[in-house]
Amino acid sequence: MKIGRMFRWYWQNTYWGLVGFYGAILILMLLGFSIMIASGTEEISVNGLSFSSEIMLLVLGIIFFPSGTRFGLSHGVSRKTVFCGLVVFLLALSVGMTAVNQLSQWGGQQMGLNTYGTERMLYPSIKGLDGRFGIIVSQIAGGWALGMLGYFIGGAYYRMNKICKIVVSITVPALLFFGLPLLLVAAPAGVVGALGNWFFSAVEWVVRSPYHLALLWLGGTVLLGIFSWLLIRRAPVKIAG
Amino acid sequence: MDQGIEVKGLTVRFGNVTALEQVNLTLGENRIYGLLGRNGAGKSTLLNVIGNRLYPSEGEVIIDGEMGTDNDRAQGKVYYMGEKNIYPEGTTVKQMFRWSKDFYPDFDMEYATVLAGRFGLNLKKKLKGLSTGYLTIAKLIVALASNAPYTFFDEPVLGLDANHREMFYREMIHCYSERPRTIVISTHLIEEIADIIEQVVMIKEGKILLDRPVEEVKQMGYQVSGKASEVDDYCAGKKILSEDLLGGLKSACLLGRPENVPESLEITPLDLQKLFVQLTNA
Repeated sequence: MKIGRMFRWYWQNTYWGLVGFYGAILILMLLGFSIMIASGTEEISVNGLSFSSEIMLLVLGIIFFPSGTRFGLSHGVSRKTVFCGLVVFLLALSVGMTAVNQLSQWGGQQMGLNTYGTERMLYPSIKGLDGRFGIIVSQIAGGWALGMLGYFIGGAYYRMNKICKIVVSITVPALLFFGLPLLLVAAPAGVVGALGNWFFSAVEWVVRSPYHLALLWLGGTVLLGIFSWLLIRRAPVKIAG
Repeated sequence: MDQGIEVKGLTVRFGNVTALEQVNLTLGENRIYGLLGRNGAGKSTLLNVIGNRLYPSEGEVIIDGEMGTDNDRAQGKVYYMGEKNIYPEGTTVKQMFRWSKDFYPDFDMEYATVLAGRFGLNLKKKLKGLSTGYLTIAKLIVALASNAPYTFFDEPVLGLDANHREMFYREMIHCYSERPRTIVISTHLIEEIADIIEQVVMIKEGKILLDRPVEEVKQMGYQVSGKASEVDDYCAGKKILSEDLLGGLKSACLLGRPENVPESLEITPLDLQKLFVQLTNA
């Protein structure tokens, strides 16, 4: 299998994106530090680093389905290898980005910035190395899952014909922004209440431990991995779209 | 068959449209094939399936004795130069060469660089900045330098001027003689490849119409020329493929072998393009 070669290809196509991403983060931190010094504010929060990394992985996943499939299949690489290379790459990238994020958070804290605000809000009871390890594991799993979600979205869009693309592009946002709120308003109170209870108990379970969150992400990764494989296993090389 | 490509019972459907139907074909080792067919006949579909860019609806492709579809090792032996650009537009020609080297270990970087110089292709240029002709040249260079045992050219001279077309054919023959391989050329410019190819594969409406050595194909008929009235007399009752009249002179392409030809008429081998037109029109 040519997983290593595909890995290298994915990395080459991510490299400059990462430079831009962390460049922006650095600027943001320096800006926060400057404001703190200039205004004499005691604490400036620079948070959401792991969240923005996950969004970056989501975007990469979306991009890599069409470009990776097109490139791999045109260079003697099987669909299996294109897919496995991507799964390994997303995991490695998530590990790498989590490591850089942790270092950045630590560095930001040394500069006097509040970089752990979101984690403290989600897991207030967590302290010490074990707690930090749990958060790191959940962030890695989160990045991996979001990358796979992107890959699935990119794959679904790639496999659709033009009409499907138009229909999905209109109906999905419409359902999210109008359909769902309307459904919640129109549904019987008992049903909404039950759904709400179920949702909040799920959230409660997730915030009980970062390992729970990691487990949820890993479950999502497996599920999205299966769906993505179904999309790529017979995918053709499509040049436009 | 241990060496070569075997296509068995290949069918490709796109919804209700059947692009290829029960195609059986063998591509032998170290031969140059001309894959001919009218627009939409299924030439590109066939090459796309062998090159793993399309998944077949039915049938199988066997490359050097092993399953070719979605097989890394088997597909590593196939390089398919298609009509479209598969690289991100921001890719430079040099990056294109580097990636090719990474995925095709036998890719000859030195030869690719020499060819780029000969064709006047700037290695630093991005693919999106290249004209149609130069984009074709970049892809041709990668295909020639790939040294893949099975190299497919789909419309290889798209957008090339006559000088570049001649250079390409010359380089292809040079490559073939230096390092023999199986080459398949799919093109509409039949006259240009008629003297290069060794085997003709004609495809019509998704089915193989003809698969024979080019010499055998050329002997399927002949061309007769001379005074119009004499040609007409000779052609009476014979299967005529085409006729051309120029002043008082006429030439006609006929199927079969020449028999009892008057001395005043000239006999020449059959024009492949004329045979193609006749066979695919019928």
